[in-house]
Amino acid sequence: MARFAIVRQVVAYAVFGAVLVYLSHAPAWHPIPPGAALVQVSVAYPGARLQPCRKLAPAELAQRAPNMRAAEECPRGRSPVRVVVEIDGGVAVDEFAEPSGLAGDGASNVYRRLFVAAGEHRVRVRIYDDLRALDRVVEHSETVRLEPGQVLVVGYSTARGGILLS
Amino acid sequence: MREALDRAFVRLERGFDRGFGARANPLRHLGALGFLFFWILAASGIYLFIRFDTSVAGAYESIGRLSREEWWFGGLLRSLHRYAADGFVVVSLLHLLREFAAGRFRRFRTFSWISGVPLLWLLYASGIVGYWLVWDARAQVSALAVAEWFDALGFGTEPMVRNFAGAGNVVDRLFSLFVFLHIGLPLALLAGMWVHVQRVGMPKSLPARPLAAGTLVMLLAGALWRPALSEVPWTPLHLPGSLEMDWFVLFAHPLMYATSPAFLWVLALGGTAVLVALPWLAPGPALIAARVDPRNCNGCGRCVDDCPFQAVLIVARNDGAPGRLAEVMPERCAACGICAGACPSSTPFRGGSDLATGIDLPDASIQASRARLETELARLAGEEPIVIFGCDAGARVRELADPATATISLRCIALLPPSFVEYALRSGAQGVLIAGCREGECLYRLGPELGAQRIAGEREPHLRASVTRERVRWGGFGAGDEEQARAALETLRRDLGRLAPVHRAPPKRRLRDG
Repeated sequence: MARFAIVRQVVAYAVFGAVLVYLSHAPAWHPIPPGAALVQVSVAYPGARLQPCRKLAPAELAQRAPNMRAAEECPRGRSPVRVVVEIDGGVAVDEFAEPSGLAGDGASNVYRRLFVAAGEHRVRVRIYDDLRALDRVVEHSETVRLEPGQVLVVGYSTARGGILLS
Repeated sequence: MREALDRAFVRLERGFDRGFGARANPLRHLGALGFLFFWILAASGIYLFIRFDTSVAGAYESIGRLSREEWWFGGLLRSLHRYAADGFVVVSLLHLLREFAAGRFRRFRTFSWISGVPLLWLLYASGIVGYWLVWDARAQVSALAVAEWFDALGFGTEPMVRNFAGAGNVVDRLFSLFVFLHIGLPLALLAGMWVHVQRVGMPKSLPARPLAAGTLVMLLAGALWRPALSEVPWTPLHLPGSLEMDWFVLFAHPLMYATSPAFLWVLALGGTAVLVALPWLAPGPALIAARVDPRNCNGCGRCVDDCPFQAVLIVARNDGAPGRLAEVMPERCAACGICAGACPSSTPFRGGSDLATGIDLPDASIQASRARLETELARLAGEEPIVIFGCDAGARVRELADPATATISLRCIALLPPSFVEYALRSGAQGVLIAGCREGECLYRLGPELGAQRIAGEREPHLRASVTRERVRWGGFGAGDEEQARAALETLRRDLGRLAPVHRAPPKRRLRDG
């Protein structure tokens, strides 16, 4: 080894260690722009059935095994869902979502994240659950006041009364 | 480009040799350092797990308490855990880059190369999930980013991101999953690391003690200087404006948000595909594998012990004779000839014009080496004639040839059976210089190490004790080190002048043939 080998080693370890520690913390990353809030549109909504459920006649039920005698027969398959979110009158999200599942009978899911300036905003959400009948719409409007860094989740919950802005 | 990168690495490694020596040079032991970082992570992780509260309410506090109230132990281990993970990423990426630059990704290296690729995925997955356990704002951003990334694939009936979006969606059971992942993924990583070195003979899975100690002290110093701390707690309905980022482990999140989840998928999957395909995209020259001669193989197994790539097996003979014999797996064979150098039948003293050995290289046989040596010995003149055995990948020993200096360059210095040294001395040479490549620069990993052990009598086949050691010198000279090799030659010649000359006889074979 060369002269001052120990010094060289100390310098090499110190430089590597310093780079390691520095990049383990810095530079800082800003997951949200300054003065902005995040709107997370996270909607799971089952579209309308493509074919209506049908009540089975007593004769039909009798032909089935006792454990298969459900009163209704519902063909699988649901309509895609359209989700529209307007913020302050402008369209922020307008998306069609196919139903999930191999048979296309699960909920349609829409997830989008968008930044808006902190402050007061008018948010209008529309969910069309049957693309064959565009008058079938679930709608909600609300004025929200968002702080910088705040996350507003736009969702849907039947149990909690429909479209939610939380 | 690859060659330029290789030259840059060689320059850097040699520069580090001057401070660390080859054995403790971190750049020459990147894989072993990876193992060291893994074990540091495992040891520190066990304590952190003992103190960890696997619940939404308790996770953040249990980790924070370590840094606040037990900074001198738990906090230190936490920081050590963090920096060891970062170090693991750095040495793994450098290891990959180094192996690529040196062309160690194809032919007999294909298995090791490909088995290393999934380790990168496991390494990053282990590191990222580890950040989630802290359950702070960084975990929140990271978990959301990973969920969004997977959701971009469109699989599943419900987006993963819904588990993290909004208040009240996270339950304690999720932490059991996180802990399972943060233990299971590293275990899978360890299993993968084990597989990764399976086709490497005598793998160096731990660095030399000075390097290990230096690395540990460096990590501890970093932990004391800048302890790893949590960000503010995870608040579902609030994002921090600024985050301290671990750019080694979490760089993919800012990259994804700066581009798109699809871009990151293309980058990750495309990069993986290129890495896996590389051995076939740039296969390099074909190699002629070593061959076993059943008539001369006694199944001693020395070739198996010395093969750097585990390309030789001992199997039962199928020619009706009793005993066993060696068998070469051609796809694993580097054609380095280390096996031929280890074979007890590879001795030039054997009679007969055909010197067939138990195992040999068809295109660089022991017989051809003996013939070259005899030709060189026959032309030697002067007071202190010297034979230099060199390595094709090391210093160009042919440049040192003169009337009193014979040079034989071999594919690998461990292709040289020690009996060749004795043969040269008995046939008129006054001294022998064995010029292997530099330590750590062997194309075949173990050449200088095995060769030196054989000459020192520490490994079979050994140089016989009757050979005067003052007449034999060993040196490591890399490509471009011709002047250092010349200096070693002159030193040997000067030292030989102080010894009584040995009787010079022409090579026995020439006598027999003549």
